[in-house]
Amino acid sequence: MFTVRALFLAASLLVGLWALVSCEVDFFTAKRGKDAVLYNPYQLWWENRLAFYYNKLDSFSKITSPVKKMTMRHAFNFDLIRLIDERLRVGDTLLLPPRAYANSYTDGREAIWTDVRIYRYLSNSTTPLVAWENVGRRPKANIAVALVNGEFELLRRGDAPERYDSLVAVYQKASQ
Amino acid sequence: MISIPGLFVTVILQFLLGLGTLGLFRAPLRRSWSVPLAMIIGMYGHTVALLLCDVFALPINGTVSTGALFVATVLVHAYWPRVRPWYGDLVNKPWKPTIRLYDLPTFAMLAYIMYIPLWASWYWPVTPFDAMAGIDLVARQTLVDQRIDNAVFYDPSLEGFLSNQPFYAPFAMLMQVIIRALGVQMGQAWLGVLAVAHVSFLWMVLRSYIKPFVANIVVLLLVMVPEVHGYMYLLQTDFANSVFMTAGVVLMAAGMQSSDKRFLFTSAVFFAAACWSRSETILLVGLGCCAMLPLMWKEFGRRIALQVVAVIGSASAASFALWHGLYYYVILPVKPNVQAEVNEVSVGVFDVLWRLILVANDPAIWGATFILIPLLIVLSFIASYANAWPLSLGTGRYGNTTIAVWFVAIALGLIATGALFSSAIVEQTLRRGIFKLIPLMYLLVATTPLLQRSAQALESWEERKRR
Repeated sequence: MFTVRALFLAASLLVGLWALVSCEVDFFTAKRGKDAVLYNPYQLWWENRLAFYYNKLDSFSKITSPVKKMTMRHAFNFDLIRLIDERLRVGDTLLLPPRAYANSYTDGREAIWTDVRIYRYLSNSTTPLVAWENVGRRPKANIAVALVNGEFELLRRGDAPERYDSLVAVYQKASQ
Repeated sequence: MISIPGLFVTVILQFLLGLGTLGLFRAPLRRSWSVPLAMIIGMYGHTVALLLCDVFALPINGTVSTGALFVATVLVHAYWPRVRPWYGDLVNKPWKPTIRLYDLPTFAMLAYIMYIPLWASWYWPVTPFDAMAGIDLVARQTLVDQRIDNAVFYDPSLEGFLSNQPFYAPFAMLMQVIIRALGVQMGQAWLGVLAVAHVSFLWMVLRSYIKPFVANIVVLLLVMVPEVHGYMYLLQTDFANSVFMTAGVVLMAAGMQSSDKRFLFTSAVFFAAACWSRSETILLVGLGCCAMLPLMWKEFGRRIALQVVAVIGSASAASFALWHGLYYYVILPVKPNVQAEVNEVSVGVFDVLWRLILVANDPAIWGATFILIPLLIVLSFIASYANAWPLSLGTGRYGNTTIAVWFVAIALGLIATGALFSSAIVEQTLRRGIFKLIPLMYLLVATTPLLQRSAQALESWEERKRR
């Protein structure tokens, strides 16, 4: 087991691996949009997955709150649902906006919270919901979410019918 | 509140259930294969037992889940005279450690790389869209309603908007139920355990195919495939499916290599588990079995070849039908609109193929896999032709042919799936379907004459032998 040659092989294995994951010489070309990009995928993977996690392991491990973890993982999709859900009252039926409307407020990130299944999953509540695409059930909804510059407002049809209707018209326009 | 004793008991019982299942088939497995395989197949057995509890209207909770696992474990050991000799072999096999110095850094690196999936699957909440919209949505509600046909399927808010995610083959969903029932917040901790079992199994398989130094390099490259490594802690059906398929193919290859039909019958359980973890796998298993039939016929004769195909086919069909037949049509209140998902076959087989090639041609997600492995295989063919080397080394007669046949069958099956089902999007569904091909590619390359000869030469040099 412990021969000089075996030691040489063990060392060469480690050096080879180290070179593979740390070498910034670009091995591969990939087409990204219009440009061809050169990179070493193993180095990227090592940096973004392993090194990233090992660097943050201590600080991540101190976070034990499930709510905090959900926020870290799902960002605004979770936060927004939580904030909306806290403000809903008994008897509210929430009309979820079309994805295109919500996406225009998210800096290019996908607003998956508008999907009725995702809302149900992330809110973990039994709030009655109406998916935007569910045209037949839309009249049952009595509250909708207006997004404005990083904030949101809940519009109740009963409290402000005109604003509610104009918001639905904005939804309609965005979904076309 | 996490039940640590419950978690411990579940893992031990799943392992014993797996050992008992392997023992029933009596395949003379290496000890280093039996341990990870038992862990893998024990999970499958536990999920089947849990679904049967639901079919028999038992409430789904932690007690019933553990009880079902206990009963299943007892049942597979009930025919003790059949199982006992296999256990005897397992325990009495001589212990011949073949550890080399370079195994130590390899083990350290594997542990370093695999710790992240283990930690992340325990730590992080479920992230992929499909899992939140289906697998875990159903699993979490199952524990609230104590039924798998729960409020998710009755909720008027979700009516008509469930899509196909909640109807996915049930393995991942049931594992979420099992682990959540033990109080593990995020449920997906099982995924890290499955990944560790899978990687240790592949490492041992590679070491049986090729000299250890090269096997170590191959297994390290395998775990470093970025996309596969990511899905070792991201909850989806595909990684588990690839684990079961790979084990099935390896066992079939072992059966062909050793002319021992017991391996082939054992592989049937793993193929059944693969069908239990992703629905379209039934198509891939069918294709693979048809492609393997002539080889099995040649090796074992007509009767055994047909028997093997019948056993694999019926086990896989039973696994598929338990969920997609019995559960869909007898118990679940709503059904997915399968008809709406079926494309006309004429819709772009070549388009699917081309898009699949484009997906495969992305080193950012597959590393060097699709460049290095075809290159090595082509070089190996040239070297074999030039030197008149036999093509089947390491795995003996038909061993690597079996892996190659399954590779082609799975690739064709994926293309057919993409052409047949509109929900099988090449850039998403089929991209993850490639997970089934990746381990086979690395196993195949390890059996090529070029690598085999190089590994032998290296070992001779290491041992100071004259060539």
